[in-house]
Amino acid sequence: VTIEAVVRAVTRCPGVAAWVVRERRLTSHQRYRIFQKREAERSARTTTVEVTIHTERRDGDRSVLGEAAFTLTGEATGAAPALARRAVAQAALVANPPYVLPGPSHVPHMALRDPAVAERPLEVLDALEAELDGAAGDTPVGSSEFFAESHEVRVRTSGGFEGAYAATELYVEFALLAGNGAEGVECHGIRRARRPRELDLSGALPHHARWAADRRGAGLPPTGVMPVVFSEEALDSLFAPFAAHGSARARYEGWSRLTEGKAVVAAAADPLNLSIDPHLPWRLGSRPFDAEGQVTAPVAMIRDGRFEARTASKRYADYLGLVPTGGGGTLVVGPGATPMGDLLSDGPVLHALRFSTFHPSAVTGAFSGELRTAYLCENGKVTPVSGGSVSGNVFEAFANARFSRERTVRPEYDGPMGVRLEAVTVAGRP
Amino acid sequence: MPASPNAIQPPLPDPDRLIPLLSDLVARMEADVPYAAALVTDERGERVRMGTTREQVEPVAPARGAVFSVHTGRTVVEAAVDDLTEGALTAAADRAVAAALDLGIDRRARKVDPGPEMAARFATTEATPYDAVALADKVDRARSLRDRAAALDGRVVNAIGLIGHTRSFEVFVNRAKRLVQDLKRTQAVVSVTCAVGTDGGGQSAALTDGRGRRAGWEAVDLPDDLVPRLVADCTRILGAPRLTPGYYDCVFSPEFAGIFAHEAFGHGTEADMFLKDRSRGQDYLGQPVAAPIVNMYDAPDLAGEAGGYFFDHEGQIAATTQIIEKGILVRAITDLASAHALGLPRTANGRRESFARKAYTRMSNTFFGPGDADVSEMLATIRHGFYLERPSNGMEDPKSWGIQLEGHMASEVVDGKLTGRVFSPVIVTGYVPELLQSITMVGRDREITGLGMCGKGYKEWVKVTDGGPHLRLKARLA
Repeated sequence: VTIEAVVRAVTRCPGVAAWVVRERRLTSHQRYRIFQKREAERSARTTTVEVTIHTERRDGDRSVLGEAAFTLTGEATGAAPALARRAVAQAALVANPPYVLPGPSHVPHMALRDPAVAERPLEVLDALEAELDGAAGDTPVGSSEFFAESHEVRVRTSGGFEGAYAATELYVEFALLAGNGAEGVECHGIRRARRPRELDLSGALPHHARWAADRRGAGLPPTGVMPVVFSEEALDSLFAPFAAHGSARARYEGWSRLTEGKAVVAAAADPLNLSIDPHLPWRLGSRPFDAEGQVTAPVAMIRDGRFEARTASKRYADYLGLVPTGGGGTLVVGPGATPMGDLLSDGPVLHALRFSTFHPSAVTGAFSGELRTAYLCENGKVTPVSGGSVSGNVFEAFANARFSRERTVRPEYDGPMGVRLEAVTVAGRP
Repeated sequence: MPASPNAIQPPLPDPDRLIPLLSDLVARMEADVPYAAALVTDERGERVRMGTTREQVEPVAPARGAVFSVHTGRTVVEAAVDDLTEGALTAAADRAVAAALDLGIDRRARKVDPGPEMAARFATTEATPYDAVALADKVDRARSLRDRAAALDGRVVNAIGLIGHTRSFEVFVNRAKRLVQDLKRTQAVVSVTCAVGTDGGGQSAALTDGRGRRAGWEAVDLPDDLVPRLVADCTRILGAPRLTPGYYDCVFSPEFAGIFAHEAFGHGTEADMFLKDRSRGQDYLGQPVAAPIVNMYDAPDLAGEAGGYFFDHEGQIAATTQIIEKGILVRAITDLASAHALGLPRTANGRRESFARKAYTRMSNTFFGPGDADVSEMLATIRHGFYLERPSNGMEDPKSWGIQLEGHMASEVVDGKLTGRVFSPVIVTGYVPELLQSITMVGRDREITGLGMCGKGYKEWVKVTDGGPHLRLKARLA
């Protein structure tokens, strides 16, 4: 299947008013281990071409956009003309407000492809395997998975946009074990990056080994309302409700609680500064353009605690009269003035690093998570705790948020190493 | 208007062409390696999604390709390709063998059992074939679900009616088996978002409900009260407070019981986790882990349920596994590699996200068996507690037996009666055997809604369902 053949089929199809064609080529090398024994070695190659077509029609006195999509894989190019005709018929059944697909634009260059990962993936996997074993030291690694992937993306639109980029991605998943039998615990970790340098297994594994050891015998936290400092994996999704409510889509759908020029939380100890940046080199969230061919742009969403600007795909930008910013990007949060150590010293305070799963609701802002790795800091004593939960609502809990002075970089987060929320509900010991 | 999206899509793989070709390739591979198998999958489908602010008719991202598997005696080596031409398949088979030979063959290792000789073709029964229904009728059905939800309450700012259908056509070949299955899954789903006073504050809430079945168009018929209950519940949780953390007597709805079953001893008995020393369950086979009234199953052969199939992705014919019998952990679920390595009975739970991903031990339809209590009897025994429904997600820790279940709605029960007070959201955490042993009543009802998906850890998504009867137990809530 080739993008050129599909574009030819779509442009020749009667009734197509506009189109976007996306080609994605993926080469994946995968290695799986049980302890240090190789369980499986895999390679996979796939190509997909995704097509969205727009049609135009009148419904009374208003213009109506019809839309439909189809996807081709493998050797299926020959089906494109028939699928395009069917898509036109399907598009006649839906009615959306019109918008204009992106046109010609300069595509910024970004450092997203590591030549070693793309050209010598098995050597990279060998090196990662060795690095993981060395970094784990005496801590048993029950299982590990290593992926080295190369992506090539091309997008063309009827408006004249044409862009391509290549990217690589490494994924390493591991489970470090501590203790045996009924006393046994694990610390599961995932590292993702575009190249080995940012993956940093040597730096990460010792932390996970310590967390695994600390979970042995860790008891439940106390029950009550107390300060909680979020760090490590807990930061990955903590700010997601702000980003969701700051999107043009949320505004258009009627559930955004953020208003331009107004404070995002009632009262802030440290004012929140939050932006979405799709241009940071080597970050997993970075891309020069989105799936519709909209060239991406950084958005300073919240400045000094006030909401300023929305992320907007071309669709919702047109609907709301905003500047399109495209989709994706690293969530960048401004630091505070307090050293991390001070955030943890005014106790009792719960330091939450890792949850079983932690996904605050994008719509409500409510969050809950079972603690996997956490520490209770009190009177200079740090005690590992595990189990139980923390819960609250980010829009309320951020009223007294304080951010650490130190920064940390995670795959899709760049911001304070620690975020202290003063009044979080903790459910633990009876 | 053509009715079927499949009519002009690339034709389904032809088993009459593929089976002889794959059989020849497997035989050729086994000249060099101890065991080889081939799986061809073609997954396609469509989503008709009619929302208040956007309407969409789009295909489910198709996944069409083949994977060749080799067991070297030490390792599984696989090559996957998305091109089903003879040349591409031959090249992929050669690639798998070459990689296996590079890693070395252990001829002394115990041989993989290919299973009994079998040639069979299976297909989902559809009372009304999905592809025979005009697309316009599907659009109308999705719009009617949306419009009904939107009209019920002025606080509904966005409503979505969704009709979804997937077709998975799969061919498995090893030296003993030539199997074909045509799986069709259809679902109808309604989502609502309610909001009040959003600009600069206010409240918002969202809920989703629906039904999915391994069936045709008949699966889109939803219970009459589903949409009104969904909208009413969404408005009830709008701005609802959270409950005071503590240990409470609870009744889990069938949906909540389902996610509990899935997370508690579904993941906890996946035998590939035994191999990695990542599951405590291996030390407790034959031991009591739950109250004696508790029975739990994984049943890929459960008629019509969306998580089911006729054979797994390693050619094992589907059959029910009883995981917990009268409170005793009696059996693990397995894939080929884990059953072979551990000497455990093979169950039909070797599944892949797609041909491009590895097979793991995965659940199918997982549920608690029925008991003899009625939900009103359960509620009557509670002095102060909660009725939990509308689960949203869960996560397990099979190594430590920790569990997290999240839900949208906890309704207060005082002196055996629902008070009308609702708390949202709610999280259940605890130690799995402690929760299972606290079960004192099991309902005689059983419900499986059929909308679930499951990841292995945090990826590798496959279709599953879960469910059960109402359960009465004690749990830590927040």
